[in-house]
Amino acid sequence: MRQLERVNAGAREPSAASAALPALCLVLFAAGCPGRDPLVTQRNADAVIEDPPPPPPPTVRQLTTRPLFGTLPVENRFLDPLLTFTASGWFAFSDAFNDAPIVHRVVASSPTSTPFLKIDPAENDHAVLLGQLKSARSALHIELWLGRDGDASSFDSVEVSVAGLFAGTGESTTQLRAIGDVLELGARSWQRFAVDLAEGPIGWSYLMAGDTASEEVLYIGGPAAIDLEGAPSALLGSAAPTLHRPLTTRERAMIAAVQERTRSLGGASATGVPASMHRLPESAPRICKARGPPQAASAF
Amino acid sequence: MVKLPCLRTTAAPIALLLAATSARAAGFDAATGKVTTAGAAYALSFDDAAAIQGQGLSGADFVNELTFDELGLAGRIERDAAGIEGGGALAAGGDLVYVAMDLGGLDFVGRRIQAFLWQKPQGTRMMPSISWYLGDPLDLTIGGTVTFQPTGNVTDDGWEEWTSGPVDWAWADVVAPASLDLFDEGQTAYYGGASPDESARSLIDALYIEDLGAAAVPASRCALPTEAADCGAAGLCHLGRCVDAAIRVGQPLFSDALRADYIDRRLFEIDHFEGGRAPRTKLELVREALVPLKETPSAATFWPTFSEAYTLLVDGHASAPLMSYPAFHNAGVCVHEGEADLLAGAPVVPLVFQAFDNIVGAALQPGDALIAIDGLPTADWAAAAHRLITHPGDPAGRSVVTAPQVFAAAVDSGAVVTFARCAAPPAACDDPDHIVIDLGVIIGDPLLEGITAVGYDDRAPCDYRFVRPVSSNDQVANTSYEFAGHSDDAGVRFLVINGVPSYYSVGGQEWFEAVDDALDDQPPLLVLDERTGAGGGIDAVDFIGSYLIGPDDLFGMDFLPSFENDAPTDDRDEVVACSTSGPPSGFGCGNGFRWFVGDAADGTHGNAAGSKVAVLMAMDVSGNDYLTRMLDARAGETRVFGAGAAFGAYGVIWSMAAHIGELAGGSLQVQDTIFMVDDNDDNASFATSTGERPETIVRQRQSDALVGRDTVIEAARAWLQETP
Repeated sequence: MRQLERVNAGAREPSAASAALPALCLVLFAAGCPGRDPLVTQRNADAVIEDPPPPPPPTVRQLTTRPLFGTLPVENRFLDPLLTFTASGWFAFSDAFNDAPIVHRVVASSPTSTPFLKIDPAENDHAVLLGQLKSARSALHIELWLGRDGDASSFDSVEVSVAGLFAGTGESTTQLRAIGDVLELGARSWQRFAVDLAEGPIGWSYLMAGDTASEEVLYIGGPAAIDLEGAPSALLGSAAPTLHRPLTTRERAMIAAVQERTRSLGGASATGVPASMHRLPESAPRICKARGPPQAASAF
Repeated sequence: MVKLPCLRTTAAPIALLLAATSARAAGFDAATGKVTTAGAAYALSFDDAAAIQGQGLSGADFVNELTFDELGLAGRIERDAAGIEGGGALAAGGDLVYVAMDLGGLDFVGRRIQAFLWQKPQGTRMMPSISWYLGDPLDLTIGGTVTFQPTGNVTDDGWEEWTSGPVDWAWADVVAPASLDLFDEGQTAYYGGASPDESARSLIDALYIEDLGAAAVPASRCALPTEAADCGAAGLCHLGRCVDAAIRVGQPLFSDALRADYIDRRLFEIDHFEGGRAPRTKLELVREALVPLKETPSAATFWPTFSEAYTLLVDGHASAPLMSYPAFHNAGVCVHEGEADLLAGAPVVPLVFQAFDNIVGAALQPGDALIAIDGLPTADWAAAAHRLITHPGDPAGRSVVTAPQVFAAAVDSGAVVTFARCAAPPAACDDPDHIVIDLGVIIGDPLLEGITAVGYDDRAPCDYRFVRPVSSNDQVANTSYEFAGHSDDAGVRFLVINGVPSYYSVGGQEWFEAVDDALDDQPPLLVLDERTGAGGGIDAVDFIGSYLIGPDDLFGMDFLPSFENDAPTDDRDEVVACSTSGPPSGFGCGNGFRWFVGDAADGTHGNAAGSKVAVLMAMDVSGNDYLTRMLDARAGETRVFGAGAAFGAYGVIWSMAAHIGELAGGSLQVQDTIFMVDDNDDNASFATSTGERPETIVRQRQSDALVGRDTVIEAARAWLQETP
């Protein structure tokens, strides 16, 4: 738990590393990107979080460094935390289900300084995103950031949940809830959603995020799933008890579809030479002309 | 900045510039917040149209099939102080998905360089790379590619620094790179299901090249076993020449922090995502191999070490992240393990199975035995060529599976190969002819001279069979993955498959029909030839497997994810209860499920259970691991023929993410499997890492090869036709 454990440990017993992290984060994102860690550091959602002082007016561009995964932890149980779609990590389903939804990957400023996804209802009939994460029967913290265009955005209609096989409960899902204040970054507003689980689901689990009611663009980024060393709600403070509910028919159908796409019993070469390998000038046009419908990276 | 607008039109300014700039201090200026390229050996400003004229730039919009010349690209320059260097920047990405810079006008041959550029993602990011091409200009073949890496340096307004890292300018100190390419990484995501955004942009600026001095890799010939001495720490042997390792295998991450994060992430993936129980116990071995790379950012060792480290898991589905093109292919010659029974001592060596019509194939014929490479016995050379020859599965199958890789490695390194040729029996072979081929001379040298005798993609369709007992059909070649077909010969039914493609995959339905055709009449004597078994889907495994085994022979299999806990738990019970409570395919259930043998049978379970079956195996992985295991459970007469173990890859394979622009992020098996003979079976042993072994050890013999006879088929036929 390189990054987050340092923060956690710092909350109990401050260390140089943990003390430095929020400061580092502020340096990293002086342009208005405070990242996840300062909020996580608070470990108490009910505490009063003072607004940071406004940054000084930009005068001279500053040089800094950025870790490989931005402010996301390296020890992140999501299969594809950078949302590259090069792994079996992310799938999208439209409301009509059979249509291939249009989901864009966006590389731009974000709360975690990592790429995020854009789902535009104008291009889709409300796509839902499903991400795979590996869990185990130990205390688990799951979070991600949702964004909207503009600065007065509502996240009331978004739905974020994690579905999995909970011991003693069976296959069920639990909601992530909005944590902290809305964060404005450039022309977008971001809201963190999170849940702490006393015991994570068995095996692989599915984070689902979407908005089937609003006509606003939805951005999704910063997925993180990390082990909790302390008790559940250690990060979220006096969180409400985690409630499980059975999967809906639609949720079951989406998970079943993911299963269908990820049950390859092929050899290592079955994953094939990825399209990205064909970065040759003369071959790239051929690839684009020949390309078929998008497929999961693990589909045979 | 120093602008060199005419630089690309003549070599003369280059020489003047190099003389004037032995060192430079270009970089980020904290006082101004700008990047200065003063002192760079080459610099390209994107300030305005004039700055890019004559610089060899072009672009493409693959979606709308448009191309951009420099005039067109000038329209994509953003001015008004948009750049981090000078005043402008090029807005690439989106509909300008590809930008290329022809490097032909630059002359740094004999020099070591490092290229830099800055980009500011505004919706997308461009992946920069430099590529080298060899051979005929009309039939170029890839020599290598250096993909840029992020340095970790960013600015508070979103600019990122990227670099090629130090690299010798010319391939083998002869062939200059062809182009610097920028490719919208949104195209990569497209293939995983994300849609490119034509309005996305990334501002490109401050492209410059530093001259680091004389080339680091000597311009010399080499051999793979001695490449460290021949080529030095920065080089590798490729097509018989010392080549900068970065060109051949890719650059490591240069930032200590990024490199450490990358290695830690890959170890985390293995620790948590790997599903094979035996592989999970090998994590420390992988850690011991990879952690030292945090201290040594060497191109010659970084990615090759990854490649070898992942095989330590003995996860037949594991593959390391891939930063460069794999080795040259087989150059039109099929080489597989065999028994050179006509030679003294009857050594087990690679034999030529088929030789196709090219400059290499023309020199060889079936039955030729590969006895030496670069003057070493083949086995010794192969041991030294570990960076090019890897096998992730059960080591008991390594020599069979990797025999083709041995020859491919010889091609890739430009080795001198020696084949022993005998006349067909009954002639003695006390003094075999030696066919000596210097692959560096006949493949590598012509490529340097602009002749493509053998290109990277030249390959023969090889499939571990000396004779293919079933012909191709009108739609599918008998070497294709989705092929299934049968033929009868002297009372023996031959069923050839090359994998077990799922019903819903390409060609899957036809495969199911072909298997049904082959087994429907319950052939009394059957050869199931799966010597190439590339796996596929559980439905296909079950369809063909359950056809051949009785309803009481095997009950089922539990596919289980890692539970990450050594302590006994009821996790397996939870998964099984979940998967058996829903529809046949279950739902998520933690990505675990119980499969009942016969679930995919269409009233065919056990229909051919009474057949006497000879199973021919050689390269069998995953779905073909399961199939062979199922057949081993038959009550009916069954015998497996071959020489090495199957991979032992019992679980589904998932791709891992490419985090830094790798060509692929590698793969891991995310489940393991427990087999059950009946519903009371209390077996709790996981199967991964140990593949099925043949009961009858048999290899293709040289003597049979010379008369066109398949030794393995004949052994199977003889057993089938034995009278009880």
